[in-house]
Amino acid sequence: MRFNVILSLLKKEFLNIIRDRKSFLIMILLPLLIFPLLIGMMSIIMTTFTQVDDTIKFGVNYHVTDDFQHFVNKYSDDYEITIIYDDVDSLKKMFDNDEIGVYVINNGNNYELHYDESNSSFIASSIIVENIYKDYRELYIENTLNDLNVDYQLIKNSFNVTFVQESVTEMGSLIPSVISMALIMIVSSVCFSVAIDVTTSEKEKGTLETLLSLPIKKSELITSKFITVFALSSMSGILTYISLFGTMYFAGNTLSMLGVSGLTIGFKSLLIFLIAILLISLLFSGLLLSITIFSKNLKEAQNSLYPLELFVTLISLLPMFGVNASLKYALIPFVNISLLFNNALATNIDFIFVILTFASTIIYSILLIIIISKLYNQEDILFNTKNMLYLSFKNGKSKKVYFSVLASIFMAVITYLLAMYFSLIFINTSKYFLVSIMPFTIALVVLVSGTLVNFDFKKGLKINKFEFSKFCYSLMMYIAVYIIANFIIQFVAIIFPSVVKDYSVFESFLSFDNLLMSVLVVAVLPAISEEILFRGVIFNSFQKKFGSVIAIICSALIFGIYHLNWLQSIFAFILGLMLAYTYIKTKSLVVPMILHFLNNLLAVLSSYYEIIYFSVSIPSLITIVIFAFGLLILSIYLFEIKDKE
Amino acid sequence: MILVQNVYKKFIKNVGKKSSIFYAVQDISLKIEEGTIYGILGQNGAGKTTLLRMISGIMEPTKGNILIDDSCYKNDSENIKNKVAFLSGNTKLYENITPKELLHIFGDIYGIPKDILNNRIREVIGLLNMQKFQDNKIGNLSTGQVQRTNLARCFIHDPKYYIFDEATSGLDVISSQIIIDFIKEEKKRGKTIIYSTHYMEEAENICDYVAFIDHGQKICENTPGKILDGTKTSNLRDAFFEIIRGNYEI
Repeated sequence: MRFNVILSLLKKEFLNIIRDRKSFLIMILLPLLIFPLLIGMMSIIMTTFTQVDDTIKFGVNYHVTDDFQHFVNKYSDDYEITIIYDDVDSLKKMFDNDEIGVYVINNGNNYELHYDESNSSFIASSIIVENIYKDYRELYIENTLNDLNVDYQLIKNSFNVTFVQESVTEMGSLIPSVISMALIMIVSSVCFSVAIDVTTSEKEKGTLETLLSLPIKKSELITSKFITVFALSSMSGILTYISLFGTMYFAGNTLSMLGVSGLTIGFKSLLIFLIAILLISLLFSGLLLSITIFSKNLKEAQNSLYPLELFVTLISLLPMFGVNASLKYALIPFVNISLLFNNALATNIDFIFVILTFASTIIYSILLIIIISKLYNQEDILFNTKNMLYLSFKNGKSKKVYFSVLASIFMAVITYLLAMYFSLIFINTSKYFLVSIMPFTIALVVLVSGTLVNFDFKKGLKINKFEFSKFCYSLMMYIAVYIIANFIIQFVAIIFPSVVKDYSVFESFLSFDNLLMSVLVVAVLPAISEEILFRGVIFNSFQKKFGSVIAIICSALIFGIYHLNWLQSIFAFILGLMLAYTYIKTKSLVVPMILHFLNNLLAVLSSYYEIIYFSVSIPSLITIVIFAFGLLILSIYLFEIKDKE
Repeated sequence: MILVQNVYKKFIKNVGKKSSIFYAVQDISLKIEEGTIYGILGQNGAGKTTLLRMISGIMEPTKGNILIDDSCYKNDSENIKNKVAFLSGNTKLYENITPKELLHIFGDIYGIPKDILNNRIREVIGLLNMQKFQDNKIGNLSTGQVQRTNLARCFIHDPKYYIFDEATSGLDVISSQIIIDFIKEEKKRGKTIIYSTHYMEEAENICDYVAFIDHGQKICENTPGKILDGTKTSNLRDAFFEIIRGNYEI
C-alpha cells in the first residue's frame, strides 16, 4: 500500500462529503446541538412535573372535627390549605372542572381519597392530602392508645422500616440510557450516510469504474473508504461527546435540578466513553461498507439498511429496560457497546467487561474488513452482474486451501464462542429468550461460515429421501453408541469426580415446567439447527477438502467442543462420529436430525419423569457393553452390505 | 501494441430462481497497432463495454490473455494502468469537487510530481477550454462540461493508450465534436485510441480499423474502406446489416 495514494483518495472522499450541505448538517450540526436541546427540553418537562403549588384545596362530604381542622393548620406554614364542604355530586363537579385536586368521601370509618394521577397540576396536592390523612390517622391511633394507657411510641419503635436508595449509576437510569441512545443513533446515522456515499453512489454514478481503471490497488481503495467512514462517524461521535459533557459542565445548575450531578464524571468514565464511541464507529464502518457494496442505487441501499437501523435503535434502548453490563453480554456485538456506554457512568466500572468488549469488537471488525476485501474482489458485486451473496477465493490453488483452513478455524472459533456464551446464559437468563434467539444465531453462523468456505447451500442442505432399512441400521447404531458413550462418561466421572458438577448445571437447564416447551427447546430446535451446522456445513466443507475420515473426526470434535463441559463434550464427540457416519451412508440430513432429536428427547424425558438409572452389577455391565459393541459392528456391517448391493 | 488473445467473459445471470451462464464476450482476438484509431462497433448489449473493461483492466477475463506492450494486468497492473486512460460515456463525477481539484487528485494518484502537475493542469485546462468553470463544483456543470472534465482527467497523465466507451453518447453536437477533435489530435501525437460506439457514421470518419461485434463475437474486422468495398455498400451502417444478415463473409 502506498501512503500518498491513500492520502489522495482520502482527500477526494472528504472533499466530496464534507462540502455536501446535508451531510454537514448530520455530521456536525446535529451532534453539537442535540444535547443542549435535549437537556433543555428535559429540564422544561421536569420543572413542570416538580412544580409545587402552595395553595391546596380539597373537598370533603362530611363536617370536619375541630381536632382535624387544628391538625391541618399545622401545615399552613408551608401551604395555604382550604377545605371545602359540600355533597358528593357537587364535589365531583368541582373536581371535574379542575377547581379541586382531591375530594374525600367519608363512609363510616372509611375515608376515600379521590384523585387523578394523570392531572399533572394536582400531583402535589394529592400527595400532601394523602400525607395529611395518614398523619392524622397516626395521631388518632396514638391518642386512642394513650386514652387506654398504652405507650404508643413503644409499639411504634418495636418494628422499624427504613428505605435506603442504592442506584447502580450516579445518575439514575434514564439519563445514561438517553445519552447512550443518542450517541449510538448519531454515530450510526453518520455511518449510514457516509457508507452509502463512498460505495453505493460511486457505483450508481459509474465513478467506481473510473477508480478501477486508475493505478490503485484494491487494498488502497478499501483502506481509504474504511478510513473515511470511520473518521467521519467517530468525528461526529466525538463532537456529540464534547457537546454532551460541555452541556453537563456549563448547565450544571439545570442538571442538578434533574438529580444529575454533572461535575462528578471521572476521568475513567470519560475515557471509556471515548473508547466506546471509537469502537461503535469501527464496527459500524465495517458492517455498513460490506452491506452497501451490494446495492445498485441509493434506494436499494436505504432499503437494505432499514432493518439494520431498526435493530440498532432497539439495541440502543436496552439499558433503558434495565439490562446491565455483565460478562455474558460482553461478546455480543453492538449490545456490548451499548451497555459499555451505560457502564461508563456506573459507580463501579467493570474493567473485564470493558476489555472483553474492546477485544471482541476489534476481532469482529477485522473479520468484517477481511469480508470487505473479499467482496471488492468480486466483479459480480462491483458491477452487479449477478445479484447473489457469493464469495470465492480466486487467486490460485494454494490460497484456496489456505482460506478453507482459515475459514474452518473461524467456524470453530465462532461456534466455540457461541457455545461459551450460551452456557453462560444457561445459568441465569430466561430460557424463553434463549429459545427465540438460538435458531437465529445458528442460522447466522451457518450463513456466514458457509459463504466463507464457498459452501453450496443448495446441494449441501438437500434433504434427500432415504431408505427405510438404512434408517433402521442407523437406529441400531444409535442404540449401540448411546450405551457405549454412557459407559465411557460414567467411567470418566469416576476418575474425575469434579466434572460431574458442571454437568448438573446443564441438567438443571433441561428442566422446564412445561414438558412441551422443553421438548421444543431441548429436542426439536437443536436437532434441526445443529445438524444443519455440524453435518450440513462443517462436515460437508471438511469432506470436500480433506476427505471423509478427517471430516467425520473434525466435525465431531467441533460438535464436542461446542457442548463445553467435559461429560457433555465426550458424549457429543462420540455421538457426532455416529451422526456424521449415518449422514454419509444415508446421504440425507433427516436421519441424523431424527437421531439427534431422539437423543435429546431421551434426556428431556428422563429428567422430566426423574428416571433414576439403575445401578448394575459389574458382570452384567460388561455383558451390556459387549452387546453394544456387537450391535455397533453389526450395524456397520449391514450398512456396508447395503452399499455393495 | 495491444494484443487481445482469445478472450472470454462469463457471466451468471439470475432469471427467477434459476441462474444461467452466458458469455458476454466469446473468443475475441484483436491486434491494435500503435498510432491507430480502432473502432469497436455493435448494438447495445453486444459486449463492447465488457470487452473494453477487460482491455482497461477493470474486469478480468474468464479465459484468454490481454497483453499491453507485452505485459499483462495480472503481473503488472499498476504500470499498465499508468499508460492507459479509460473514459465511459455514462460516467458522472464527484459533485462537490471542482474540476481543478479533481485534476490535482487524479494527478497525485498517477504519481505525477507536484511542480510538473501544476503546469500540466494549466496546459490541459487551456487545451480543453475549461477556464470558465474550472473552479465551479462539478454538480453545477452541464453534461458537456462534465464530459470535458472527464476528458481532462484521463488526459492528465498523458497516457499512451486511450479507451473510450461510448464517450459521445448523450452529448450534443458541439460537445461530441470536442471529443472527436480530441481523438484526432491525440492520434497525430502518435497515441493509440480504442473507441466503441453505436453511431456508425462517427466511426466511419475517424477510425483506421473497425471491428463489428455481435452477441459477444467478432464478426468482422478491417479498415472501413475495405469493409465498404467488400459489402458493396456506401456506409458502415448498411455494411453492418449486410454482414449480420450473413450476406457477406470478410
